[in-house]
Amino acid sequence: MLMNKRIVVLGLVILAVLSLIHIKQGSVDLSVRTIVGAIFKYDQSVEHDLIRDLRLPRLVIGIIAGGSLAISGVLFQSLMRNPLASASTLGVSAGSYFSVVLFSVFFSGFRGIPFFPALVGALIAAIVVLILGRGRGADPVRMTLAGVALSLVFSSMTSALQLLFEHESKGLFLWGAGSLVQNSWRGVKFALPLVLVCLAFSLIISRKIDIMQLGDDTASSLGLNVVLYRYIGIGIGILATSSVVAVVGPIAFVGIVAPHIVKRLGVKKTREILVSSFVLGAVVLVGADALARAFTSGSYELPVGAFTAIIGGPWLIYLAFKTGKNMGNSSYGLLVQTGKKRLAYKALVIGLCLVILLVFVLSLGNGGSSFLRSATRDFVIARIRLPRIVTALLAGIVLAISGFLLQTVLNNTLADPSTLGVTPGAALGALVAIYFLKGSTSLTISISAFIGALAAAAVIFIISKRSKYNPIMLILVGMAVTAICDAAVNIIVINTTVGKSASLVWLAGSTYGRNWTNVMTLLVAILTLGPIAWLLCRNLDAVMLGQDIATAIGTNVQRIRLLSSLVGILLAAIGVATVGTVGFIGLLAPHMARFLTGIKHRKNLVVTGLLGGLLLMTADLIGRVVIYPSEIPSGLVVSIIGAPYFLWLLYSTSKLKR
Amino acid sequence: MKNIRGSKLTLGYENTVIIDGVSIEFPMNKITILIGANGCGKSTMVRSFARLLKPMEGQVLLNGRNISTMVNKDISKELAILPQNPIVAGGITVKELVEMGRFPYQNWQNKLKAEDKEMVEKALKDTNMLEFKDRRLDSLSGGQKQRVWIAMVLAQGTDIILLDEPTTFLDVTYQIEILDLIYKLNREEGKTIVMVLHDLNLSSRYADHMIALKDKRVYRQGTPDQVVTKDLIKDVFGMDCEIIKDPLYKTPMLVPYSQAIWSSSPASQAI
Ligand SMILES: Nc1ncnc2c1ncn2[C@@H]1O[C@H](COP(=O)(O)OP(=O)(O)OP(=O)(O)O)[C@@H](O)[C@H]1O
Ligand SMILES: [Mg+2]
Repeated sequence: MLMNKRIVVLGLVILAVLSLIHIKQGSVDLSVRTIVGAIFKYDQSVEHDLIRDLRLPRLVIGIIAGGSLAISGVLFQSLMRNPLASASTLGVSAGSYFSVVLFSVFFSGFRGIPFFPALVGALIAAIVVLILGRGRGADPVRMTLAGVALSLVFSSMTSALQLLFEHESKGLFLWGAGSLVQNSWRGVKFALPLVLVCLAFSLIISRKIDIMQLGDDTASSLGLNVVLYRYIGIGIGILATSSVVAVVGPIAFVGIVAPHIVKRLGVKKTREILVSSFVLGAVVLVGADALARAFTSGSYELPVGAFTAIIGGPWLIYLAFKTGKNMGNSSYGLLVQTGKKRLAYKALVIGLCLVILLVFVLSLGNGGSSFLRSATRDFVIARIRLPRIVTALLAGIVLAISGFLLQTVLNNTLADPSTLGVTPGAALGALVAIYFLKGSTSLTISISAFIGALAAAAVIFIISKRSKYNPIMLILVGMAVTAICDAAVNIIVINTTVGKSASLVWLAGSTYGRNWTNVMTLLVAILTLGPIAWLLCRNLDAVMLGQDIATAIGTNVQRIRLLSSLVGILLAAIGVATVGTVGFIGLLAPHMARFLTGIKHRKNLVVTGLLGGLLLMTADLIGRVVIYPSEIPSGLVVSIIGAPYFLWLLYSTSKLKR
Repeated sequence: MKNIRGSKLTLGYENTVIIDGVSIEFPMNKITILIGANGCGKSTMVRSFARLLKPMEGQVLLNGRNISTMVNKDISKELAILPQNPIVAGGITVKELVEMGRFPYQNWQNKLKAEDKEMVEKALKDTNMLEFKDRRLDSLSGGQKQRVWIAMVLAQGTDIILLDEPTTFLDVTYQIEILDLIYKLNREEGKTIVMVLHDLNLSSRYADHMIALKDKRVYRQGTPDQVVTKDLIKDVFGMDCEIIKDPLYKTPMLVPYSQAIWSSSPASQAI
C-alpha cells in the first residue's frame, strides 16, 4: 500500500515536471512566471491567451486521454484475461476511427465532436473481436490475432474512404494519426466528465474484478455475476476509449504500456492498478507529446499517436518476447479448414484457367475507351491495358503463393505479408523513395519498397529467432513492426504536401500504369521461385504434421522452414514492390484453395496461384470500370471483397477443434 | 546387424536435467517396455532415441552410428516413432495421413509406388482402419485417431518402432487389439519394439524386457518377473501392493492397496 502511494506520488511529480516542459514548448517562448500568471492572474495579454486557449487545453487533454486509455487498457486486460489487450491491439481504435471517417464523409458539415460515431465503431469492433476470439476458450493469442485482422479490415476500409472521398476526409488525416492539438477548451469540456465517470465506475467495480482474477468458476461460486460485470467493465473501457478517440484520434500503445509498467512495479490490487495506470498513462502521453514536439520545429507537427507507436512498438516486441517464451513452441500441425467435398483437381485447374481467360478477355475489352478509334484503341490496349492486366494476374499469383508458403512455415493460417509486417515495410520504403529521392521513378520506388520489405522481414525473423519462430511471437513482432512503419508513413504523409495522393494510391495498392518491366520482374520471380516452391511443397506436406512427426518421417524441418520462408518473403517483397500494399490475397487465396482441394501442398500451390491471379485481375477490372473515369485502386477492391470473407473465415476457424 | 542404444545420455530441457548419464541398450527383436511415474522422463527418453530431442551429453547409436550425424531420411527408414499425443490438422484424411508414412521412400516426384500402396493398405488393414480410409481425421474418435497414427508408423516399414503410450484413449478391447498387433509384428516380422505403457499388468504380459526409470536413472531392468516386484512398485511409484500371478499367462500381476478402504473395510484385513 505504501509502495503504491509512492508510485502515485512519484508519477504525479513527474507529470508536473513534464507538464511544465510541455507548456513551455511551442513557437513562442514563455517564462515560468508568465505560465503561472496565466493560470492564476489572467491579464488578457496575448501570452496569457496563448497559454489559456492553446497550450493548457493541449496539456489537459493529454493528461485526460493518457489516463483514460490506460484505464481502458487495464479493464480490457483483466476482463479478457489477455495481457496484450488494449484498444489498439483489439481493433477497437481502428473501428472507432473508421466509423468517424465514415460519418464525416456523409455529414461533412458536422463540426461537433464525433462521439457517437466513435462509440458505435468501438462497440462494433469490440463485439466482433469478442465473438471471434471466443473459440477454444478466451484464448488471448487468438483474440489478439482476431484484433490484428480486424484492424487490418477497418484500416483498409478507412483508406478506401479517404481515397474515394478525398475532399471530405482531408481534415481527418492529422486527427487520424492521433494528435493532441487543441484550440479551445471544447475537447476537454467534452471528454473530462465522461472520463471521470469511467474512472469512478471502474473504481467501483474494481473489487469484483479482483475476484474475477481467480477464474470465472471460482468467482461464480463466490456468488459473483461474472458475465454481467465482465460486460460492464468492457463497456466502461469502450466508453473511455471512444470518448478519447473522438477528441484526439486513435493513439496506440498507451493502453498497453502504462498498465504493464504499473504491474511490473508490483501493484496487485485492481483499484490501485487503475489509479497508478491513470497517472502513468498521463505521464506517457504527455511525455510522448513533449518529446514529439522537441523533435520538431516551426509548423511541422509530429502526431503524438505516431510517436507513441514508435515508442510502444519496441515495448510490444519486448512483451511478446516475455509472453512468447512461456507459451512454449507449439509442435502442433497447421490448423486448416477444408471443404467436406473435394473437387476433382484437374477439372478445377482447367476451370480456373478458363475463368481467368474469360476475365482476361473482358479486361482487355472494357475500360471506357470503346469510343476511341480502332488504331488508338489497339495502341491503348497493347501499351497500357495489356501490361497492366498481366501485372495484376502475375502479382496476384506471387502474393497468393507467398502467403501460402508463409502460412505452412509459420504454422499459422493467418500469416500473410500484410499481417507479418512485410507489406508496411515495403510501404515505408516506397514513401521514402517518393519523398526523399529526387526524381524518383517507378523503378526506384519499387526497389526502395523491395528493400523496405526485406528489412522489415529481416527484423521480424531475427527477433523471433530466439523463440524458434514461435508463430505467436512472429505475429506480435509483425504487429509491432507494422505499427512502427505505419507511424513513420503517417509522419511522412502529414508533413509533406507534394505527392500526397500519389502516395495514397500507392499505399492503397494499385495496378495503374504498370508496364512491361513490371511484368518481366514478376515473370522472372514466378519462373525461378515458383519451381522451388513446388519442390518444397512435398516437404511442406510433412511439415504441416508438426515438428515431431515431420522429423520422424525424415524431413529436415529447420531447413525446409528457412528455405520456404526465404522464398515466401522474396515473393512478397517483389509482389508488394510492384503493386503496392495489396492485402488479403495471401490470406484469401490459400484458404479457398484448401477448401477446394484439401491439404496436399502441390495441388494447393497451383490452385492458390490461379485463384490469387484471378482475384487481383478481377479486382483490377472492377476498379477500372465501376466509377469510370475515376479508378478505385485494386488493392482496395480486394480489401472490400476480402474483408467480409476474411471475417467469416476467422469466425468459422474459431470453432475448429484440434 | 540392427541395434539401437544410448551411451552416457544426459537429457533435459534448457537447464533442467531429466535423465542423467544413462547408458541403455534395447534388445533386438524384442519388446521393451519403459515404466515409471508421471514426469520421470519416459517420453523424454523415447524422444531422444528418435532424434526428436538432442541429448545434452552422450549419444544415441543406431547400428553403431551416431544418430546426430546421420541423414534424417535414412533414420526414418530404420526407426519410426509415435510421439505421445500427436496433434494434426483437421482437414487431412485417414489415407492421406497413413500415406505420409511412406514419405522417406519417395523422391521429388512425390508419387506412391506399388510397394508404397501395398504397405499403406496393409497398415490400414492391420489396424482395422480400412473402412475409415476416406474419413477425415477430425471426424474420428480418440481411439480411432490413435489407430490411424499407429497405422502411419507401421506404413513406415521400419525395423525399430518406438511408441509412446500407444494405448491411451483406447478402450480395453482395442488396447488388447493394438498390443496383440504389436506382439504379432514382433514375433512374425522380428521388429524391435520400444514402448511406454502405464498399465503394469499388460506391460508384464507383453514385455520381453522392462526398464523402470526413477530419479533420472534406470532403477532396474530385466524380465517382467525381475522388475515387477512389491519393493520396486513401492520405490518407483510409492504405492503398496501385492503381486500375484496372472491367472491366464502366469506373468506378474499387481493388486494395489487402497489407503481409504484399507483403514475402513474389515474385508481387506483378510489378505
Ligand atoms: N518441452 C519441455 N520443456 C521443459 N520441460 C519439459 C518439457 N517436456 C517435458 N518436460 C519436463 O520433463 C519431465 C519429464 O517429462 P516426460 O514427458 O519425459 O515425462 P513422462 O515420464 O513421459 O511422463 P508421463 O507419464 O506423464 O507421460 C517432466 O518433469 C516435464 O515437466
Ligand atoms: Mg510421457
